[in-house]
Amino acid sequence: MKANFVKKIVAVALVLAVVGTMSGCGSSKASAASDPGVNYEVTSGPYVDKDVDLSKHENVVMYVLGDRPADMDEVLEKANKEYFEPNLNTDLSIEFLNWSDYQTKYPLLLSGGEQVDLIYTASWCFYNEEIAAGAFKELDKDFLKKYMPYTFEEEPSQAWDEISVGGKIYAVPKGQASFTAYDLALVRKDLIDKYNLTEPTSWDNFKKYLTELAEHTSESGVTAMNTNANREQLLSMYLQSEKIQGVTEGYDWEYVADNSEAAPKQDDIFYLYTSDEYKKYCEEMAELAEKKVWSSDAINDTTDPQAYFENGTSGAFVWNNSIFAAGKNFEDAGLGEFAAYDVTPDTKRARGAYSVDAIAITSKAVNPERAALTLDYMKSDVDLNRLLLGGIEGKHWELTEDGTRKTLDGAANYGWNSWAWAINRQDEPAEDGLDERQIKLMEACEAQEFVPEQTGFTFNPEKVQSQYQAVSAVVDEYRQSFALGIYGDATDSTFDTFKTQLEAAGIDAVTEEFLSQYNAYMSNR
Amino acid sequence: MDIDLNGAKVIKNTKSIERNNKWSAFLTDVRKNRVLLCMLIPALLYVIVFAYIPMGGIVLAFKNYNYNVGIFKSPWCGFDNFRFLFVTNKIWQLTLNTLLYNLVFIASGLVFEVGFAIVLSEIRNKVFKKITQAFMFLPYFISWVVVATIMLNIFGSNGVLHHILSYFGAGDFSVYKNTKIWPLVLVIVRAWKQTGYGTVVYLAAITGIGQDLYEAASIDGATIWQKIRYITLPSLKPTIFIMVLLALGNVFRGDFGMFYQLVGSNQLLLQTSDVLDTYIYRMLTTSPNTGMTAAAGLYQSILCFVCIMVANHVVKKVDPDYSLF
Repeated sequence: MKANFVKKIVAVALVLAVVGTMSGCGSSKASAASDPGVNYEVTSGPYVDKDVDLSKHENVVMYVLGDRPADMDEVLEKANKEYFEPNLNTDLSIEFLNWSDYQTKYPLLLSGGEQVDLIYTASWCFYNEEIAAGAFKELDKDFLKKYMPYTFEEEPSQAWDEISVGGKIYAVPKGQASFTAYDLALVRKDLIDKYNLTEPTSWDNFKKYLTELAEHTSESGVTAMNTNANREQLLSMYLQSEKIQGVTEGYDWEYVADNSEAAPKQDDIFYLYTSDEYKKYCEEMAELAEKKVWSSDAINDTTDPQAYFENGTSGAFVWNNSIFAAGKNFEDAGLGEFAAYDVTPDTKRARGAYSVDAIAITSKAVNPERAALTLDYMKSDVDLNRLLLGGIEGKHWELTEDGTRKTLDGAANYGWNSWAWAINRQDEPAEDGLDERQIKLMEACEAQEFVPEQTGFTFNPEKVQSQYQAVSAVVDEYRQSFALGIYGDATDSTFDTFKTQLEAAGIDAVTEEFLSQYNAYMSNR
Repeated sequence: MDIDLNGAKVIKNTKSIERNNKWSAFLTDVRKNRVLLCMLIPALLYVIVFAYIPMGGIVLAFKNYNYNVGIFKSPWCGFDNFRFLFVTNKIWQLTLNTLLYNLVFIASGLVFEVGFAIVLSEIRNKVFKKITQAFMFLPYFISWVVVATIMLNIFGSNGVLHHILSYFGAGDFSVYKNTKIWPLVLVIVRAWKQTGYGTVVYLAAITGIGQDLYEAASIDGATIWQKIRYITLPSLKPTIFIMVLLALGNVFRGDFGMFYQLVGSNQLLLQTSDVLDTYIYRMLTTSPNTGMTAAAGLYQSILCFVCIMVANHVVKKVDPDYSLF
């Protein structure tokens, strides 16, 4: 009898355990925010005299990309206690999607049952796809005026243009655009001096630098450009050197801008991967691979090239102005001295579009009006904005007399702007004691700014979805292999196969659709 | 059919007075076996929650999914979601690749797993046996990501093997340059990783074989090979059939983790080792589309379903005892 009873208990416990683990998946993290029962009477703050309903307490959940900073909870607590609760009767919680798996989690998050009110998006982060799936709330001018009063005024009109799709706004872009789409070269100054290498002042000289450095690999232990398959380091730099400009962010149709801001004519637009320009790039990459500028196994490597530069095993690292962070880490480790070069000084450069960082209100948001107010508050209140961007003043950062910001010891647990790129402001304080090499190159960028006329045009591949997917699959199959020049002498013939496959997948139909949308956009301007 | 009849017979024999009333017989049965039935609940829940309920999602393959209106109210779009699979003719090649790779994996798995299980069962030294088994099992717990890194550092052009070979004067060596041997590489790596796990199942089955059979055989003067040939292997037959049939149920699904991590984006290797799953991943990763993902999944499921039905039917024809259902 007793044994039977024990058996029963065990069986029930097992069932409960299984059911428990199942329901565990569904429970939402949203309740992490403080007690929802507390209601704050809003008697002051920037929204008290606006015509908005703040009588009910709300929890707003925002998702952003990146790794959760160690001091995030502390910062959030301060933000909620001093800003959101008294002035908006709202509790904000912020969740993070890691770089390693955001591609899979992002769509699932939006289709799943979890509370998501605000979410990071970008032209490269599912913006167009999720609009097509109806995941984002359309933000019309009246809504913006009423629920995002400050942002609506402060945001540059170019930003609204660039984020619009088919004339409609689905997300709120960042307040300041920087030159994120322009690549610079980070190289080893100590090795240039030691081996008397060519300085990478132009694309050809950069290639010379790499090949010369490669000849010393066995002695120096440094691979000229230690890289992996996931980051195509040289393509945009090559395009810069040819003065080729993308028609729109996130899609591969290009034209030779030659520093002119005029919008390209239809006949001048070409699809990158079937073009002769791309073929030439493939050949140049095969040449570099032949000269052992990178390891022949780089294609199967997954280590981040930035880490390779930082640990002193790579002679070059190409990216936008983020290269300076890598350079600093490299020098801090006492491994040598870096130098940064603008390899294409004669090329005009476009600021990264505003649409490369934005926050959308989801269509399943519990209270979209309150979510909008929360976002508006984050973007418009200077103190709150800086708290979220850089952490607590005095602990993570402090302002100097010149109005620049100085990093404090606490910054290790909350680095400046590690996740809040989409809510930054134009008056964001510059970093104090910037490396002179960085200041010089950034000034050069500002001086060479150009804004192409067609800025604001985006492509919607919905009508040619099947072909577009098939084309993507073909491009994804070959792209990285070409970038690392693994075909050697067979590059030309492989390129022909590649081109034939793209044509079979229907690239012509997609290009036709692209051009017709482009023409429609240009004629409506 | 046989099993059902036998079962009914047993119930008839053991049931007492209420046997005329089927319903109360059922209830008594439930009451009598309630503990056993309770133990069935987790498995049942698992299947219902993770297999039956999600089946409703199949409709997604035929819909233009929109978050605003949800799965069932999204507009129908017929077979549009499937079109992307067939835009190029590649899908047939990939389907064939997936099928052939999996068949080879099943065959090689069978040989290694049964082979090692028999070897282990014949080893008398307990310590040696346990250590061997532990080392065989270990790779099963290493994720493919880590396996890929280990591979690169041993067999790559900067790898250990390259350095050893060049010390002895052999030239450039990298397994990543030799595309022809990749099907073999994949089979070997997979065998290394999975054999330990598969062996456990067969080892358990061998333990279940009556020792009296072996003793009788010994008395009759049977050698160790004869015992394996005439006792162990025939006794393992049901387990082998079940394992193979279960594996056939997934024969059109490539092991994404393995192919994606080991082959990565190396197009030279992709020529011989691209499978459905990696291809679909490449297609949809740049522009995710719920409907198309569902369509791709359904395509694989249907092929797997057909495959297992046919295999089960064939097995049933040959020997009904060994069929799954």
